[in-house]
Amino acid sequence: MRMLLLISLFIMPIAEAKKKQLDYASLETDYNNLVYNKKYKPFAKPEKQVAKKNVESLINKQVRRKNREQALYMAKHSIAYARLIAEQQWIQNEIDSENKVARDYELAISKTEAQISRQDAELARLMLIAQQEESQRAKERANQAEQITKNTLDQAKILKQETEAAKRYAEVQEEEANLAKQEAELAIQEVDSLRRKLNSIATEETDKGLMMTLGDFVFDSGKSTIKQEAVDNFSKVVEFINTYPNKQVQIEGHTDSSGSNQLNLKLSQRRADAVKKLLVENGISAKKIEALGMGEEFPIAENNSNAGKAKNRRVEIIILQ
Amino acid sequence: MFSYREILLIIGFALVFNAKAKPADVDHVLVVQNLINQAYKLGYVDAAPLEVAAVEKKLIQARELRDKRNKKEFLKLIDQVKVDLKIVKKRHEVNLLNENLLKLQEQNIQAKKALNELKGQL
Repeated sequence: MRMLLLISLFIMPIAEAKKKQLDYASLETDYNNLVYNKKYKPFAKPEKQVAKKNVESLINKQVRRKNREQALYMAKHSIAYARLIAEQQWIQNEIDSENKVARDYELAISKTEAQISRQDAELARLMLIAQQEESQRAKERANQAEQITKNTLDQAKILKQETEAAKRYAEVQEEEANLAKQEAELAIQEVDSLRRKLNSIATEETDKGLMMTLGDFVFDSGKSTIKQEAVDNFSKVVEFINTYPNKQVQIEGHTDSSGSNQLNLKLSQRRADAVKKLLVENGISAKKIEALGMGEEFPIAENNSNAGKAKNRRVEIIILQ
Repeated sequence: MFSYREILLIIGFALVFNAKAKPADVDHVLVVQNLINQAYKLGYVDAAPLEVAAVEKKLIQARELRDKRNKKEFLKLIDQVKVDLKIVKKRHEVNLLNENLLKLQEQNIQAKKALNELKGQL
């Protein structure tokens, strides 16, 4: 028992020394882990100095034996505190970096929003222009439609006017046709009248022989040309002459007293010549025809009235005895 | 009764002895208890509940030592409690900062996402 007590008296201080050595080694490791940690290197420098001082004073046995346990506790806590301060400063540093990043993002977002706003504004402007253009086009289309309507109305108006003009033209044409028809009818009537007159020409016995008288209706007024209608219906006269093929024929032209005697003489001669020429053209020999211009010397009626003058203007065809 | 000179002498002695009088003892237990109460109040305890429990145990021991008039060990324990509370407070501050950092990192992730979405609109 005494031996055991004695041995334990020897062993206890040794064990206690071993424990302290282990504690110091652990403390040193803890300190080194803090100091050589790259993450915490730039931070908590004063706190690290305090921790270092505490650790070194313990390891170098500058602390009294009876105070070592307390000093070890304080050293451990100084390391823990330095680590917390370093952690705090590192986090603060990270927060500063994150704040900077946040500001950068905020700025970038603001810029991007501004760009989007500008883009939206540009889009709105372009849409407005497009709307204005569309509106302009619609207006132009409306104007065109209005113009087309107007043109259509104008064309309709023109068409109506043209129709009316055509109608009027047709009416005029109709009137002209009617007039032409009337003229034709008149001409036919005139021709008929002429034919009837020619057909109804009577012959009379005179001293010179058998005589047929052509009124002035056979000639154009004031001229010596025979009317075409008279030429076409001259068969009665030709037939009359051919009845007497062996007789000489004398054609005498007479005028009224209007105008000079000389002029009347020439006119009567030309009319007599014209009748001779027509007879020759109808197959009667020119040798047996004599044409004479008698002028105004042998009137058969008074020259003081139109009716009398009309009777005096004549051509007499005489079958000589 | 006293002469003028005697009165001055008495006053002089009184002043000298008063100046050398022993300062009043600080109630370390009360100070530490206030620190613990503050830790509860400000929420430090949540940051290191085990350490706070150990501190409270040490405070009980400190009271026993005070009652046993073992001033030396009592003061050592009070010093340990003070550094323990200092670390608890610091750990709380670090935790708060870390929360802020995580919040900021999350905000930045969201900001990056928002920026990319905005860029997509360009």
